[in-house]
Amino acid sequence: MKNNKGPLLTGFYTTTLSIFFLVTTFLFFSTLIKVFEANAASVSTAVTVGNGAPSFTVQPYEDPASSTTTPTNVGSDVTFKATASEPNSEDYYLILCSTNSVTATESGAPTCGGTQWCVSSATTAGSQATCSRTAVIGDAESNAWYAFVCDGNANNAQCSASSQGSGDSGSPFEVNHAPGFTLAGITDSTVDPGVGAVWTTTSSDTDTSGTADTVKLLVCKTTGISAGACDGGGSDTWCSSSLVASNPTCTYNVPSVSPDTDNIAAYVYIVDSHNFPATGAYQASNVPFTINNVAPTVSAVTINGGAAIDLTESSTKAVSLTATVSDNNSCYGTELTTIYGYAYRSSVAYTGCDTAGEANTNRCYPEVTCTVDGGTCTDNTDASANYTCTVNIQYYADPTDTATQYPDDTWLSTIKAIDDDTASNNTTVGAGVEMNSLTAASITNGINYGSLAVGESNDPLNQTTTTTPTGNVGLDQEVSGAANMCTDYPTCAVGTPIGVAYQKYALASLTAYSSGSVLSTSAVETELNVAKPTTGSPTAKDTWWGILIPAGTVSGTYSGANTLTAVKGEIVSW
Amino acid sequence: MNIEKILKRTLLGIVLLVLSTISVHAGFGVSPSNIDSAYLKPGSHFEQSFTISRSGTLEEMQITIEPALKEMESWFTFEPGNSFIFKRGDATKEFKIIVNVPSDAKYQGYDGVIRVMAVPTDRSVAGVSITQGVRLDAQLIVTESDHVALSILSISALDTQKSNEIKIDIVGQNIGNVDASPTVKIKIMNLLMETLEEHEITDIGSVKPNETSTLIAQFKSQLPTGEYFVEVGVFLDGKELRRERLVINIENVPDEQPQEEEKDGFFAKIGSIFRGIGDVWPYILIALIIVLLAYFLLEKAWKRKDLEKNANKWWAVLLGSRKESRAALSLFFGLGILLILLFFPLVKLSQEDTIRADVDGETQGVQRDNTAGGLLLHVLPRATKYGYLIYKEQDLESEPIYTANDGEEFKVIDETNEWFKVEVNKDITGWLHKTSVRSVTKEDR
Repeated sequence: MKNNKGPLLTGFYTTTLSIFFLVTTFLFFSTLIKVFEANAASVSTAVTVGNGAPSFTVQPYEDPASSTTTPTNVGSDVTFKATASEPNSEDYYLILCSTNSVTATESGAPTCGGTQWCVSSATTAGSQATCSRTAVIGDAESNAWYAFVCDGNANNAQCSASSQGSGDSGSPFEVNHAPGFTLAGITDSTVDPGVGAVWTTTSSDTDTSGTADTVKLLVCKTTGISAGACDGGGSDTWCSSSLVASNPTCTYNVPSVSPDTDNIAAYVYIVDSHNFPATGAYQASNVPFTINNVAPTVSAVTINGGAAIDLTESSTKAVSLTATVSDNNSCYGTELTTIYGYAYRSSVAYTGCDTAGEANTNRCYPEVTCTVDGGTCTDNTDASANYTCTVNIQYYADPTDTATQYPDDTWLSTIKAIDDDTASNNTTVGAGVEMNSLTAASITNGINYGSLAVGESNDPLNQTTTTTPTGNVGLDQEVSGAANMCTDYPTCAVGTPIGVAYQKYALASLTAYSSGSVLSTSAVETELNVAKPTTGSPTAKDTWWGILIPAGTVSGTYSGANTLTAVKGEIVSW
Repeated sequence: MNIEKILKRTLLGIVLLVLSTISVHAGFGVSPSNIDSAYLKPGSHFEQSFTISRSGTLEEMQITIEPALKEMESWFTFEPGNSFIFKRGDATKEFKIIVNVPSDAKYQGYDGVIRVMAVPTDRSVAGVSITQGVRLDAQLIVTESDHVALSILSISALDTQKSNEIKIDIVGQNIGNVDASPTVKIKIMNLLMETLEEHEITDIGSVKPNETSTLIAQFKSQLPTGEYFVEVGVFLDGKELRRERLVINIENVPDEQPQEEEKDGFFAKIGSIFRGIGDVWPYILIALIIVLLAYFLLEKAWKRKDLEKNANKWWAVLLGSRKESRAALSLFFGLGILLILLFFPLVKLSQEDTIRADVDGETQGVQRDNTAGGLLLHVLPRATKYGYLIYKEQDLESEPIYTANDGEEFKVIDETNEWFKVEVNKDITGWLHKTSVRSVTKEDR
């Protein structure tokens, strides 16, 4: 049993002893430290009581920094900021002076020995003090500053030592002066589409601190600039120059298709390389320009698609004249007011057919109204439109092919374009077309010989056929007849046919039957000499006819057929 | 007595040559009035068009051409023939004279006339009627000497796309007797008439004697999009034939247009069926036989006495007891059979169309049909108005050498990931982008 209790007791005693030792050691050293502390507090120091000067806890700086690259424009403020502590917990002043000289003022703000840039209001110690100065024209470009913090102690006001800050936000502050702008103009205030409008200025900038300032010209569509650009952006800008040392110019290239417009507003601005605008009378002045009206041009003129013209008998033939009309003031809207087509025989020439008074339906069709082909001119940036003019040419218009009066001529077309300012231009087709001969006639459709007894004849020849020319040539006439007239024509199988030779014809009235020309089955050309029509009422000519009833012919109604063929006549008879 | 006899004979002998009415013909004419050629060579051929015109009632007329051309008689033919109808209501009609000079024709001048006669087709003959005609004069000269005479009838240019060639159409009429090969000088100017480019094209082909042809002068331009004046001068043997100023627009390459909805729709399927009609005619034949068979069997069935007594009942009529209902029933049955027979091919057609539509509308890819043999490409139908470009290089910025039309086929001679090298013709190969390919066919060779 003894053997079992021994270790337990040993452990218990050891643990108790250790705890006692640790507690005792802790108490000893605690007492020792307290003794040392009591001895130390008991050391004494002598001091002198009085007003202390405030001191910077945050060094002075410009906010924003005014440097050679970011100077303060005349009229803008340069703001200085700093924070200070004050030993007596009094309020303090921040003061910026041009020299390292300041005088504290009892119960008031300090003053500078030199120029005072600015002084703050009384500021609670530990708080940020701020003062600002507005840059003025008379300021130098570069202005040194010395900052002080001063209290306003009633008995002994004190200022700190000066501070000039550091870096770009430290001394000096830079002032940017407006560029000079003494003249604005435009080299040619009226310009054609596709030509440049050039604005010129007399302007420069005297600032040279850091890098010498340069100037730039802005020409705006409306008044107002912002950050060195027209305030409406690119769409508000006619042109802008690059930065140059002096006298910038800029050019607005008028698009090659531009509607003509008078006195388009253009506001000129000069800014320096810091985007600081100039002042004075010329700044924002309106130097307008005018886009001139230019005459339209006519291209690709055609007549009847280049093909020879076949007229229509006794009627009119619609012939197309086409062209492309271009106008650098645009083909759109009301710019192109009148497009006329002219069709004429070449020896008449355009000069003989360029007015309505010269109209002649044989050879000259002036001032035919043209219409634009749909969809060929879509907006005012489009210069060209296609036009078609339809001229109704009379059936008797002068032919120009072979065996006519004017075989060396052709028919030409000219297209004339007139714009809304009456500027005009015309172009004639590169090659004319032939007006083909139209051999045509209107002829009586039958012959009435009447009632005749056997052996009787139409003597003198008293029945007529009338040949009226309905084409553009003079006419002769071929005549022929069927072999017989009979009562059962064309079979002619019964009765007593009357031979063709019993029919006679003549070109003059009152021709005796015996003197008439004998009709045959073969075509015989007669010199009818019908003149070429020159108006819508052509002159017709008659042929006189008669017949002899041969002996032995039985009574009845006899029929037959004669043929009259129109032949282009000799030109001298036209 | 004698007097009475004479009177009787006289009265009996009266001949009436009376037209019921005499009036003025409607007018009739032909233009031009001549057919001339002074520079024909033996064996040459030429054609000339004539216009007949008329006025008045415009009734139907018979036009008869009566040539009297002596030794030239066999040289001339007429279109539409020596006799034709001038239709009622028409005021003008064209006909053509075609001349083939024999190769053994003598060198001399020839002349003759051609009469064009017009007779109303419903003319009732009574009295002396007048047939109206117009005479055309023919004067031809066959010569052994060469004669060069080219007339430029028109010059035109169409708008084009940037990077495409500019094409100038020149219509020339050769009235000489040797080939005429004009050259072209082209000056391109901006709207301020400042010259930007000049081109001279010496090989635009030729116009054969007595022909009117369109020659195409095409050239590549570096100009940006915009509107330009083009001054074209056409020269033959150094002599300027014609000068014309035109206006062209060079446009941007348009974006691909969306496929027409119709292509994917109902009408496309109907079209597919009609396209496939050649493949399904056996089915139609089978269906017809079935129709006849059905009719025959129904008829036989309704002749049975036990059924015949019910023939007039409504259900019996529906089941074909009457001839009409039997026919309808048979046709309906045949149609049903036809649809069943067509069912599988229709499904296949529909599937094929769907695949093509997908390819057209989205991937613009290539549809491969087979696996062996040479490739044949079908140009994909896209709604661009300028066709499909074949380039000189595998580069969309390279020079286009040919503009293919929708449906054109080309032989493939090489292939890369994006391009097919194709044979444009025997001498020219180029590169076709795969997005421009509708399908690829491989044929066993």
